[in-house]
Amino acid sequence: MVRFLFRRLLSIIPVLAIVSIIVFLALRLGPGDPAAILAGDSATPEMVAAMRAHLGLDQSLPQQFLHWVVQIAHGDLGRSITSNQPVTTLVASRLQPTLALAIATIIFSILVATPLGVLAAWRRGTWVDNLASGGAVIGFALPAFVTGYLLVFVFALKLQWLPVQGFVPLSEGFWPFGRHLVLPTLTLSTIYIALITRVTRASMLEILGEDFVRTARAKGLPERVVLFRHALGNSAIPILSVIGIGIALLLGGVVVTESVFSIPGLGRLTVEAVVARDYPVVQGIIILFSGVYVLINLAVDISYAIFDPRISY
Amino acid sequence: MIDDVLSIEHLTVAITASSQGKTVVSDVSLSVGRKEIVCVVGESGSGKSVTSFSIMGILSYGLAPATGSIKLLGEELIGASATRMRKLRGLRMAMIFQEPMTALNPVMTVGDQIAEIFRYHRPEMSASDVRLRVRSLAEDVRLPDPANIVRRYPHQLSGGQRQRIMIAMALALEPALLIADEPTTALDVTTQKQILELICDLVARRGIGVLFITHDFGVVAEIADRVVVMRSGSVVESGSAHDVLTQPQQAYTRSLIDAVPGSKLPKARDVADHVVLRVENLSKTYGDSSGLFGPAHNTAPALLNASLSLRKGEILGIVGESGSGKSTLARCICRLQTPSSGDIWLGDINIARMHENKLRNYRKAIQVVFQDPNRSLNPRLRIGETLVEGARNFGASARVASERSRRLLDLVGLDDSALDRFPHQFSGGQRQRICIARALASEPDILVADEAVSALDVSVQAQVIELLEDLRQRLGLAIIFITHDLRVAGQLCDRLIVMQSGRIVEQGPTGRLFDSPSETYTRELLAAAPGREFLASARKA
Repeated sequence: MVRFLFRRLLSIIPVLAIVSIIVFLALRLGPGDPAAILAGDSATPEMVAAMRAHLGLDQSLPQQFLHWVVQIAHGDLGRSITSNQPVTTLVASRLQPTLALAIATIIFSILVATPLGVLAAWRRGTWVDNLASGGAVIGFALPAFVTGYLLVFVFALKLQWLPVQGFVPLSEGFWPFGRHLVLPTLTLSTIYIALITRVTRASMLEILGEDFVRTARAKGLPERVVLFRHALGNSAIPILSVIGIGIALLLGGVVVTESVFSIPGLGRLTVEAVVARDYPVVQGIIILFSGVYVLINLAVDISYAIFDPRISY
Repeated sequence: MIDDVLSIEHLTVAITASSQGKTVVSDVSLSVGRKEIVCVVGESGSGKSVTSFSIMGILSYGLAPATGSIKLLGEELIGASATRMRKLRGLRMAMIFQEPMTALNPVMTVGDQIAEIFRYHRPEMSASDVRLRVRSLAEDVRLPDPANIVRRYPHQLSGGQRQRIMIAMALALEPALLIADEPTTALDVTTQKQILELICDLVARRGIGVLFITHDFGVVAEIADRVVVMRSGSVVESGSAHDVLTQPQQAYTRSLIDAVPGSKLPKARDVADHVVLRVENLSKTYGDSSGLFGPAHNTAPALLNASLSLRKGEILGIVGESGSGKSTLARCICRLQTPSSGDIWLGDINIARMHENKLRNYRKAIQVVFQDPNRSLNPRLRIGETLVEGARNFGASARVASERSRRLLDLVGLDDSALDRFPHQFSGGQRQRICIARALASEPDILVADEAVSALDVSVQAQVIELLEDLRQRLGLAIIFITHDLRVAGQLCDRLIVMQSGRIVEQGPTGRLFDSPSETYTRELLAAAPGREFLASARKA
């Protein structure tokens, strides 16, 4: 197990190396010039060139790359071209909203979707199943901006129960923090609830046909124990996998939701940085995310071993 | 009849979705008394399992009892509330199943699986009392080291140990009725013998009644007090075990008893001297390469220094229990696996370590038929496509290949219409015939049948064995017949090889091996075959 952890953590290094090369090249080979954007519309070619030299963009690509890698190795992700703030500071300031939204979404989705999927499988073919399965299709089909504005319209504008948009840090009290988080969480959760419900249902349907489920019933166990302990316990692996993938996708999916609700999180920071061709910020965020992806994968693999004693590393 | 633990009268089970009231079990009546073992015998589809599931109230989706009565200790079960049924399951009646690996929850310790019965049926018991009971149950079913074994997971136990856990679980609340649904079919003979003894012992000690479902009249002869024979959902014959075994009234019962392998003596046959395969000192060790990280795994060899020879037209049986290395030997001979050392001579060519590219030409000389015909045919290919594939691979033209596939089907007793159908449209026995036809498509010298009849009903088993015998005679085919069932091997094979823990323990002509085995292990295996006394007397008669 220790060796497995060590090997997997080591694997972060090649992943980051490959990701950094791809990101670095993609940004520079793509259209758009940060120097031109920064210098403004009325800048002369000389001014743009001067700006480019100032930013170090006049160096050859290998030189720029080497410079950047050495920087990262020192734990420095560089400074933003537009705001001149350190990338680490920028990311840190945007971390809390995204993290709060992501965690709330995952927890809420799991709590709603797993029992829903179990119920749908148990009552296969009945109205409960049809409702859950039909709901899942709608959940997949609805884009986040539609769900978001619908929820805002009903709960914020009509009923006026919840704020329309914005984010309040936890330091200003749990109540305002929580109230601002409800609608974005609901919005972002739709697709995850749909996804996890479908997978739970499918996985449960397979397991419910297994012999040990029949054994559990033959032992005279209550149906909830048969379902949740025996069947769900054995359906865990595919569900965990999809939750893991869900968390990874979440980091991308959060962009639209953050825009709808004007939440100053990492998603919006990414969009702003890409639009401004703010190379260091984009690079920094992507490196950070890819590190997180590797860790999520590792966490999922470890959770397999926790749920299934037959798996060991 | 208040003494009856179970009495079923005129039970009919119908398919709920069928508007014509299509039934899977009709008008079944039977009873089980205290201290009595009643065997329900029938082939797949006879309704024996459906009957037992109806008693337990665990019929699968889409089936429901339509009419009749099931009384457990005088209490009517049909129409009983779900809550009451749940109480009775475990408390008054319990069930054990065929495949103890899949019948146990793989992600819970076996001890927890026993303990949860007490947790839900006897909530007043303290945790330490439950622990004590679980341990004493493990002792009751004679599990080794009960204190530790209950902390293991199912995959860490042997098949016999898992079935003992199932029995412990069933006996937890001391039910009056135990339903055993083919509990020994998936086990080795020696393990089967122990489990049967355990069940008989529990009947004697605790006075429970047992409804024992089986397809094997050998098992019936070992344990049954009374027998109920079922076919297509109805009872065709019932009576005391002695009467049914010795004077069956129905032709169907007679045919089932006759189909028990080993009821006929193997005939001595002349075999040519032409050796088609010679295996010398073949060994195989799994996982013997060292990884990049960490040391080499030192695993015991799955096969050690096996030597044998096979002559044209000979049927050689390889017998052994699970883990004996018989399948490894077969897979190495077919080069589905590469042996670690030793030689495999096909004529004067050694294929033991031949490279895959060159091996291709020799593959057609050795063909394999596997155990489960349901899984060894591609479900999306028509039979015709499956049959021409092999021949086309080795260069036959489409016309020649399809002509040959017609002949092959004829050879295995199927007609042309099979060519355009899919595997799921055939019965298990027909599918195994198709698998054999598929194997014969490349005109091999040697056919390896790896447990090829083990998944089939006894009567179908007998037909496939007859087919193999017939093919040997007509084509001069040499056959390596691998089985865990000594009785089947005895009926078909000219010579036998007995394997244990990767080694060949004994080999010799079938008659000699059966009459005067020289090794203890062979004697144990022979003694463990169910119904051997009955069969011996039947042979004399």
